[in-house]
Amino acid sequence: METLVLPVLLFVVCAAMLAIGMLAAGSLIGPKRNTAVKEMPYESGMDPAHDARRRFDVRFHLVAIAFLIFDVEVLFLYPWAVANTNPAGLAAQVGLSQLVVFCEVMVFVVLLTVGFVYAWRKGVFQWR
Amino acid sequence: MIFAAMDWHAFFFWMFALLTCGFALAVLFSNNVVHMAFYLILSLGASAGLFFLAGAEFVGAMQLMIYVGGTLVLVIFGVMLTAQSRFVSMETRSGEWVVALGVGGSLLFMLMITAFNVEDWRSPNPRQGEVTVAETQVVSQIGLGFAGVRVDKLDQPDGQLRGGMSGYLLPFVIVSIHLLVVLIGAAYMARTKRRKDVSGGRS
Amino acid sequence: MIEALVKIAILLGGLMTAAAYFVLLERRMAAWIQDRVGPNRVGIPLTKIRVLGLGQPLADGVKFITKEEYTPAHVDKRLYVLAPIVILVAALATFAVIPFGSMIPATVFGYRLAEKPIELVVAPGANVGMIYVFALSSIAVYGVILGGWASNNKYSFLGALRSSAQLIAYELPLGLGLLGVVLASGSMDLGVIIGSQASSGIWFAIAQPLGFCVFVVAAFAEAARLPFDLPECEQELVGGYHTEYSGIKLLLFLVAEFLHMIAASFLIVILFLGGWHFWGLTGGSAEIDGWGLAWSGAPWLQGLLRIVVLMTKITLVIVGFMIIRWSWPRFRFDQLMALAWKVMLPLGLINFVAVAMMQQLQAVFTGAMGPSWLMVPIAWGVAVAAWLGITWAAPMIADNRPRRELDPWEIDSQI
Repeated sequence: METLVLPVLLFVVCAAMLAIGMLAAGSLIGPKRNTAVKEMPYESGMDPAHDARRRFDVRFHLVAIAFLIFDVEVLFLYPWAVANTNPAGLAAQVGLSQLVVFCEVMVFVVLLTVGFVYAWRKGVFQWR
Repeated sequence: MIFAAMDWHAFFFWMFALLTCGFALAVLFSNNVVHMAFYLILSLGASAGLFFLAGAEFVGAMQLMIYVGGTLVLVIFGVMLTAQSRFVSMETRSGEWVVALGVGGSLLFMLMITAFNVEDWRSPNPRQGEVTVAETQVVSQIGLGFAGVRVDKLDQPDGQLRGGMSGYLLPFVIVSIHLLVVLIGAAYMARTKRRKDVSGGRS
Repeated sequence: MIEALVKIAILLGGLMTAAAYFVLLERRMAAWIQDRVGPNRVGIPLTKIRVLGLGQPLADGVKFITKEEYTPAHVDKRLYVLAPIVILVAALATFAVIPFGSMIPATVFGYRLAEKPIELVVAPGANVGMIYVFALSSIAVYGVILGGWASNNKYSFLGALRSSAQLIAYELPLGLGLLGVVLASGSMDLGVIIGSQASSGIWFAIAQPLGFCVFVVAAFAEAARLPFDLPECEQELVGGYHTEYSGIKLLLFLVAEFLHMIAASFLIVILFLGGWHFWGLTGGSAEIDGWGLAWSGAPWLQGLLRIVVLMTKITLVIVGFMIIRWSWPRFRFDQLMALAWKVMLPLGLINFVAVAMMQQLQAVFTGAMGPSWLMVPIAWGVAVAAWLGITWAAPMIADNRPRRELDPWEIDSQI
């Protein structure tokens, strides 16, 4: 546990210090000249028309939902994938048929595929 | 060595716990919807740190991936979808505070009662020296659990008991069916409002 | 503790330098492909010596720092400053579990550096290493979303939207590509994955060609390299999500982008191209045994040779990234999404099922689970069949003409 948490945290802290240090150096060294045009949002030289934060297509939301569901499904497969081949995993359990477990996982994947095909036929992945 | 003298485990626990609670409070007291979502990300990320600390590395990574990397993207999309400039800043009325405190407080009370009913959690140091965090292969054990092996009963001599009769085999399949239902529901709801006749048969 | 700090210092310094020099390499390669000369002026400061323009990264860095560090008035200040930090830290933190070599002996000229041979990774033995990398790549989305939203600029907003949709869509094929590797090696520790390739001598790119293709395409998309650089396509969105950024903040975004590419090449090499292993050169065992020679310098030579092999492979992959960047046109957004959901996701699933089935078959016939040369032809057959099948199921959208007769809701979706 410490072997993972401590070095990783140290690394993250060092990386954050690097980033913040670079920002600080930039703001200390760089010049400060403010003009009215600089304050405007960049729109290729045109005066900005209306608020930038417009409504956008709900399909982006749909992509996020589909991602979330498939993400959870894929993550459920990882523990089996590790346990299946690891010598300390399924192979070490006497009285447990690896084939049965394999079939169970295949049922899982088939159900995933059914959902995927339905979503495809329904046009979730159709962008236009 | 000063580093060796410190109790790193306790230090990290307090750090992550304080970060989690602090950002949760920041969610409450922020007025800007997008800021709220961002603080929620940080709060959930810090609680992933707690999982890592407890040795449940896979669960911690899951927390990062599913909550921080998945659900919160969904929330942020939802917030950005609705957050026009007049909705970005939200004032919470006092009546809403009262209702929220009532609901949240009763939930917290219930959780506390449940937590203190667990024998091991009552005193801060349960069975000194016997705390076994960081099993080497947590992921593999979760996989075994899905395959129907009760990893907490591995010392049982009887194969039937060791398998815990079924372990988590059935829940694993139920989860997949549940996810299927969610996917179909999402696809169905998101796509029914399309007017196919408008585009002259082309959709 | 000290050991970890030394490794972190080496890694951070090396990565920042590498990112700077890969920018130079990229510019020189762009020039070479377009039949120009490229930046060759800046050499050693205060002299007139030009050493192939090797001073250019230094000059770029100085220039970035001396530029104005400007925060426009219309932005959301807090998130605007945080976004580049988030994206850089997430990009750097990935490298905490990525090995940058095999290991080096604990003694040098009789002086003891450590008790055990030093593993060249910041957090050794992280048994969820790969999931951690995967999780951090999903956090990188936030730097983009927050930067784009906080900028309060139309280009930034559109860039951020596109970018986040692209990043999350391609995370699934990435995960499915990894799944085949996890299944074949039985671990999520990157060091163990290299070890299993080295001991069998079969790189996973050979054993799972389909998974390799899926993973490489997804890694390109996650790194937002050219066929997939919709987040910041200069011709359409000026700078995408970092349009409003300038000075050192822009530098952080650009460095993070290069770090993503470097991380992607590390992962491609480690997961699929054997990591530090090369046949007949580096030895097959995870420990450094000095090829069994009696000479005391042999372990050192072997450890250094493994680092050289790994770095050579990574440089080659990065050069590949750059050549592809300058020879491919960009995808349109609907093509990008179609590729992710209709091509890469099914291919990834097929790869996973094929690998699992082949393993079970092998276990039934030979009783062993590990990779073997017997399965390689079958895997390539599956790859070809799956490729043909997917071209039938999701035919390429080749019609790139703009469509004029759009419905209102369709025009609305042309983001």
